[in-house]
Amino acid sequence: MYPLLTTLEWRGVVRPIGSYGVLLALALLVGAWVGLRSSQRAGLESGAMIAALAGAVGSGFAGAFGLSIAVAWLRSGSLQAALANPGIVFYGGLISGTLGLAACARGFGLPPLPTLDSMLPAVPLAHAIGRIGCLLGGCCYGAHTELPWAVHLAADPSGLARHPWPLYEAACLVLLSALFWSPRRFSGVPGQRAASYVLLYALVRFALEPLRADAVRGMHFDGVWSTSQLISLALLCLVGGALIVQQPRAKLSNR
Amino acid sequence: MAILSILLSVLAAVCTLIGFLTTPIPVVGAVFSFGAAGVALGGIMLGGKAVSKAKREGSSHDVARIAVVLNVLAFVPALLVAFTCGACNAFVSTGNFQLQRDFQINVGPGMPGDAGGNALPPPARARDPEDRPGAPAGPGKPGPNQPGQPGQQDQPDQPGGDKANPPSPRLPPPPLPAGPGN
Repeated sequence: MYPLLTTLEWRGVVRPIGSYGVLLALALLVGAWVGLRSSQRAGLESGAMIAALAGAVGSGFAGAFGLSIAVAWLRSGSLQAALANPGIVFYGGLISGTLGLAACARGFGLPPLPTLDSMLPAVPLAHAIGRIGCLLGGCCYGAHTELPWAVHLAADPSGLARHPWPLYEAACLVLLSALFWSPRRFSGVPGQRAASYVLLYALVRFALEPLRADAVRGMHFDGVWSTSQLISLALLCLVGGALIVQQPRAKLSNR
Repeated sequence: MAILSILLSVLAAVCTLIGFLTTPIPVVGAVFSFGAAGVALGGIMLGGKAVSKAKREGSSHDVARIAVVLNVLAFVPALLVAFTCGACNAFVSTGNFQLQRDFQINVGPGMPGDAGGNALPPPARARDPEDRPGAPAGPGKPGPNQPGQPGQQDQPDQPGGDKANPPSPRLPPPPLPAGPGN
């Protein structure tokens, strides 16, 4: 779509600045700002929250790169080929970022579960901005379609009209962030808000994945399930189970 | 702690600059590009901790806040450089430099495969008569042994090489490219 935003030049050295990188930086800044505001509303100390957020961003990127390399390694069977084609995977970032935030929150004297809860609606909002970056970058191809809003991606050698898949997910993420905008919603027991978000996102991702038809990121079980669908299923089972177990406690605390 | 955080922001800025300049050098460019973002994140953590400590002690936390802001300012360009120069360098460092579609977005003017603007060329370019040995390289099409170009001398199987060293056969690209996000 528009992968190259501008070029940076310094003393004759020219480097491209991609739209994806800029939108990712913007997503992190907006996400951090919204997250800090909502954590302040939740009564969490802002200095410790800043430190915990930085740790979460670092661990999130490590997980996002790590999962991308792991998937590429499994697909190609060669670590060198996997390292030659680095990318970032949202689910890797979500899982390791969540663990990193909880660990850093504990380390900096914040309660882990309310800290995780306070990251909503920042996470879906930042993710939606990142998806716009995906669309501009021309990655995350959609499946072939003849619908009027189909897009042609410049980097796509097939030249097929495709679903603007990143836009679909960005729209769903904006809806999710609107759903979680009120701090009272889904707030039965500490951690319930974060768990509800993970559950809803996993459902959305599972449903949207067939429109992506992204074989390059790994298809399993005779091409029926994508890697992201399998992770979504695992999260649905784990987090859904945890929410069901927590339900009686939430009812008690609401009384 | 706040002073150390400010020092880290300066270090991150310096690493960003070095990463920006050393992109064509295998490993070094990636280390500095990704390291700069890591250093800036470390600086933000220290700055946040300093704010927290100053609040607990009831002292002024202006310096700590400045440290946080400086590190955030250092983090943004570090991230941009990491996602362009660092990723490009990691690509080169593996010794398997192939022009794949998804990485065309990170290849700018003067670098291999430059298409100019936002036009992205197909992954496997047909060789044209200009690729003969000794022919001058056109704009955006570096010569076979031009110094400072990643993958030029060490990677004989790069598309568009000279006819004395024909590209070795390799597997076709995947059906769809792995992009930067998933």
